[in-house]
Amino acid sequence: MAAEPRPLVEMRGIVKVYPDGVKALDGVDFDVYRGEVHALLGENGAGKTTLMRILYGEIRATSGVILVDGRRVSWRGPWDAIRSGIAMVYQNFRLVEGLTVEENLLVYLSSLGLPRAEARRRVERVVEDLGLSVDMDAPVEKLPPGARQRVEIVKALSGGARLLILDEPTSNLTPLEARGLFKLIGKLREKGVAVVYITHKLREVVEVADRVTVLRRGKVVARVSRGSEGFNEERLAALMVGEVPRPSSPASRPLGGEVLAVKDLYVAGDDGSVRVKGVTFTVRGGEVLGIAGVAGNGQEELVEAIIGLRAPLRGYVEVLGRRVRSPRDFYEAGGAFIPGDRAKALSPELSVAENAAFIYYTASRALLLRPSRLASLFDKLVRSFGLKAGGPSTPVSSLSGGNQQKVLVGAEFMRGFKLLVAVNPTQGLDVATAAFVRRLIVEAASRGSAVLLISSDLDEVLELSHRVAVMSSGRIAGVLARGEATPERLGVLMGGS
Amino acid sequence: MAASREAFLVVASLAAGLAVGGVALAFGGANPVSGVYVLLTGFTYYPEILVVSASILTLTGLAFAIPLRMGFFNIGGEGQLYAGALAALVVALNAPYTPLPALVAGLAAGGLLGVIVGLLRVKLNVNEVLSTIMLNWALYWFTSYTVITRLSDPVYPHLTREVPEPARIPWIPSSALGPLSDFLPRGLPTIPLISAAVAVAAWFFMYRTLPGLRYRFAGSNEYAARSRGVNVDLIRILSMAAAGCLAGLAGALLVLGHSYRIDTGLSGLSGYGFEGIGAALIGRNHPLGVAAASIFFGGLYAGSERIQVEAMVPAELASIVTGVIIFVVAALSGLRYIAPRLLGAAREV
Repeated sequence: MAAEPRPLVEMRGIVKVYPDGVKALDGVDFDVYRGEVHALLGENGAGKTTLMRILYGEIRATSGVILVDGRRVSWRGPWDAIRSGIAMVYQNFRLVEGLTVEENLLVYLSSLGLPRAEARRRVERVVEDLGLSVDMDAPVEKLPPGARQRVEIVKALSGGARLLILDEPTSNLTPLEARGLFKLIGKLREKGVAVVYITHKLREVVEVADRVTVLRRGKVVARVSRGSEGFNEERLAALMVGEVPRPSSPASRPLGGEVLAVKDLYVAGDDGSVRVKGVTFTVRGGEVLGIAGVAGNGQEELVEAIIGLRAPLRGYVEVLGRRVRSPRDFYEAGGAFIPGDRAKALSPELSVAENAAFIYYTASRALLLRPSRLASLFDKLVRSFGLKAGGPSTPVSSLSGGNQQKVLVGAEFMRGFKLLVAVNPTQGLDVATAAFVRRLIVEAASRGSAVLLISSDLDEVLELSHRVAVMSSGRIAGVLARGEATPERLGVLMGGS
Repeated sequence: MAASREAFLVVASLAAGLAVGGVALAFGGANPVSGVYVLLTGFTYYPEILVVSASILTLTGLAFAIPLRMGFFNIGGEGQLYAGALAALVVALNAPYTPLPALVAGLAAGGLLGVIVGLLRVKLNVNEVLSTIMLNWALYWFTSYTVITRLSDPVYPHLTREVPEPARIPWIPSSALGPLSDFLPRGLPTIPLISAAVAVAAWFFMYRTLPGLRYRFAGSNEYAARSRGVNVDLIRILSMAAAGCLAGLAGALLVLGHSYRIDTGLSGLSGYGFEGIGAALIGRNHPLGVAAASIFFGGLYAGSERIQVEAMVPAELASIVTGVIIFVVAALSGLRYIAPRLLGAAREV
């Protein structure tokens, strides 16, 4: 890459201090060349996304310089960045639902001032150049995440993007879709498009990147090029977290009695359609049962039925022999729940300590809430779970996603339980804390708790589970024991064949 | 950081309100500077007005603030107050021994209305704004009708019979007030003590009890609350019941502790329910904030009495001025309350 004299984009000495005094970036230098895939690697909260949002003009740096084609630029907003050929594709795609793919593309391009005919021509050229097949008439909400992402990329490139920023691009994709994305990135490289690949997944870096810049706590700790000796998962992990986390794995001790029983369960979704179709399984004390599957195959409804929030059409859920008809039943029987979406668990208007107390005192019949209890809950979160927050009365909404997750997971683990239902429990956590939470789960199981782990992170499911059930179209497509569960076999089951 | 900003915004909206009030005074031909001054200091001449209206507004303000956290716009404080006043009066006239049964009757009448509104919304999805506005009118005319046909005083037919002495809420005699006795020669009504106790109790419930924490949590994240076994529907209904109780209590206090009668036009009762909404908005739905805003409002009412005397401003203009001030302050406070939610989506993380 260094053969080219001048980088397409160069950022020098970028500093970002947020209004609450948090220094997100501390003098970061970053550059990217044409035809280069440059991974930006770091834990959650390391400053990756902040750096790229500055480049994209969404937020302003406190100080520092951005050069595009060697010329100094100053963005007033993303539109300026887009005009200079910089585009961002977010984790949660920003397409207009209710419109078709073509309408989405045309709306975007016409907002850039392109006439309709020219816009169409450009889209066709991009699609053809990359050898993609895109169904222009499909309504966007009908498309799977992988296809939506391709639409986003086509959208950006037709708008004249020379640099694509992909923010955690595989977080919503199935393994197969991720494969397709890597291939597409390869083509982009051939066409001379520069790609910034924001991620915390080491395997992907090693797979797609030409060069990687590692950020830790707002500083660049290393730049490594493909082919140099540090370009491997172990070394990059060490750079990213400062230590390589120990993998956890479930203990293989004799299992206890049946804790969770799900019998012939049928559950309807919000729209009335049957989303869970005759699911039966049990989880015993000391066992971790993983549920793998592409999101949207009934997992959400299954979980809601298990915790008693959604009444089943047929069948039942029992925790320790007690029928679950309401969330109260679930918690009183010894259940614990970590939902997949923090927004479904925390109250943004309440403080860190109040959120923790709400979770900690689930189903408690106590009446008084002493400020000293709030303070001690907070202290425990800080000491035992490495929570970083201003103080007990800091609003939980001002915390980073990882710290919010620590509040949720921490408070639930402090409460104690006999059955844990966890959906993506390490989502948004930095590597060290994610490893810590996985260890907690394993320890809980070895103390005799039953764990039902629903995760879109296949590695996590495989690492922690004694058995893995695959959910597909509302049914359990198969259950594999730890030894037989490989990503390939799971992939086949996930596909529903 | 947040607290000082908050305080600045409160002061700024008060200043803006007073400035606009000054403009209204100038429009009426009075000197705006001295007029606003009198408006702000006039309460020393009418401390009773300040004390009574602040107490009543605290209750009706809470009657708006408490269900608002659960997403209910209780516009019905007005009607719930009428119902409370009427129920209290009827009981006091028929069982004139102590004020307690009449107080309970007022509380219960308002609470029953609140429960009805809450049930209608939760079970049948009837919009509470609609139901409360319609109930306000129904209750206004029902109260007026009852006053005229059943309760009127043979001597003063536009008034009801008076609450007999034993059923009145006693006043604190002037002699027990020490240095304040000069300001309150008739003594101090007990109403403010009751209101203050209610406000503190509301604060204690919200911020020092577990059910209070669940109530605040459920108001901001219903899904999370439900998924943790909180009965959100029940809290909703209870919040409306509590609101009705407080507005009903306000009506009972007015009748048992201040006016002792109701007039056929309900002029001694009307307005408190609606103005409580302003107090709730300015007080940011915090019980103690609502009380503080109510004291400010009470001061304005007292001042607007004084301004008629001192600046020869007609009563109507005085009402316009206080109305305008409250409007501006409430609008700015409301904006401040709503704006962060609107901006929240674009917040940087």
